[in-house]
Amino acid sequence: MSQEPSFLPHESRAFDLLSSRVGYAFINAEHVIESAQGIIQSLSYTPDVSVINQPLTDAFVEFFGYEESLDEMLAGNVPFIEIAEVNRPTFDDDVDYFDFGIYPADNKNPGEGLILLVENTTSQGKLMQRLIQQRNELRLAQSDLANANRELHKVNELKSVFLSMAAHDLRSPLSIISTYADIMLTHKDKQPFEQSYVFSRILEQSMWLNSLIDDILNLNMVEQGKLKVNLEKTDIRMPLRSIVDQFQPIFKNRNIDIRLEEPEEAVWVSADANRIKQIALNLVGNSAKFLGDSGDIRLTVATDSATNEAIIGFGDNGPGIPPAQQEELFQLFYRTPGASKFAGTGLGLYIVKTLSELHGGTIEVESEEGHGTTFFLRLPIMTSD
Amino acid sequence: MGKTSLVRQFVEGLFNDEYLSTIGVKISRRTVELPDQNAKANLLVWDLAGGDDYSKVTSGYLAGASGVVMVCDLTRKNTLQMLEIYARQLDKVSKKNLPKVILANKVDLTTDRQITEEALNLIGEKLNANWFLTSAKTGEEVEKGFTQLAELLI
Repeated sequence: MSQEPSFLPHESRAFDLLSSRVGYAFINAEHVIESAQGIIQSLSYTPDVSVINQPLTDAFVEFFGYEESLDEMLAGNVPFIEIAEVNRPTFDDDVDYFDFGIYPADNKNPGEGLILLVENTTSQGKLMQRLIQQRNELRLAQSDLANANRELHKVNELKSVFLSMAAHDLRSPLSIISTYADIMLTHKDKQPFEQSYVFSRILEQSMWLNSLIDDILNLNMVEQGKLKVNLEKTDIRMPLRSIVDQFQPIFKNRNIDIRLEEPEEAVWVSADANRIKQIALNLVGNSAKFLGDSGDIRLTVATDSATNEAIIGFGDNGPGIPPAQQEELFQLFYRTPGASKFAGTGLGLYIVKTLSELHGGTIEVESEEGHGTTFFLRLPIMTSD
Repeated sequence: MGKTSLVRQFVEGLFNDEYLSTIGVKISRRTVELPDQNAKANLLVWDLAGGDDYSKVTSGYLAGASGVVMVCDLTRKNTLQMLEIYARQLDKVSKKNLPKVILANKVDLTTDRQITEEALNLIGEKLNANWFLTSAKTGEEVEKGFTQLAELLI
């Protein structure tokens, strides 16, 4: 006595759920669909016409071109055909994903027909799509960034070449100007005050311009990692004396008093005297710029036995720097709001900091508005010969 | 590269600026008139994922292919080099000597162009394929490229 299969309620529900996600069809040896279940009908390219008795490739164009392979499968020579992640557009302009597979209905007798199995894999497909989308967008962004970087490097190299050439070309005529001004100043006792004042200003400005050229060339070298210092045993008082001697006659006409307060005994440090002069030139130049027509500039040399450091001070009684601006002073191209009325590039203090660090030292600033500014360069003292 | 956009332009005459990565395969259909041959060709265009996602799964899609449209992006030099790799993979899994055309896409982005016509000539000769400077955005040469493939298939 035969008995109808009966399902428990949860089994029936599970079957319904399964039917909404998968489908299968029997394909005969002529590639025609003989029966179908589940989502097969809804996925047909001719959904209004029953898939039953339709050629497989009419109902599912995915298998167009696979006719030979289907025959080979029916002959037992091909185990299966699988087409994964087939995109199907939805009515709301979205995409669903399906895996298609065709297998022999009977492995022992493959010529009997084939089974088409279709599974809705939209949730996995969408997850995968999102992951790949994010990865691809990231790659595009990386590629754009790399291209932009390459362009920036090219432009930066061109800028460096241009600056180097321009700086070198400026230096020769500048050297002639300052030499003639210097010669004229050596005879200042025989000149009216106005004339010697003019020559001292020419010489002073030539020196600042020369210092600026140095800074520009040094900046290029910093960017290329080529800025070097030739460290030698140096009495730190010597390069400072040279700077003070150089500026005293020039500043005299501006009522700026520049002096070096130094200990009687030598303070030996490992330093590049020319680079120390460059640091001093920058710091003295800054002070002179903000002092206007009168003021004091004091260079001091002291030692700190606790840290075994030489402390070189570059002080002035100028307008001072507000605390908020002091933190940014050593950044490249930074200029205080108050500096905008003076010529400048924002290079000087950056170069000073870089050179200080190349000496194994540090540079700090102390300043109070209305009471002047002092920069402190700290360098390790040489402990032995 | 704009493969999906090219297919959409060819099949629907539409373009959408939004970039959406393709996974798996999207199949579209269009009939092309071929007046010179006094014929019509029904093209089933399989739009496949590219790049790293051109995988074993993708290889499975190619078994039934009759012809191939290869796409490179004129604004990304490396996409031209990838065509040779794709062609080698294609030869392994599909029928031999499939007719091919190359669509060099995004010709409308003139200032970003990184691929020269000389480079396209070289790859075209290597792969035995004609190339077209296309724009999925403006539709330039899209019809011509697909139609030439259809002519090769007839």
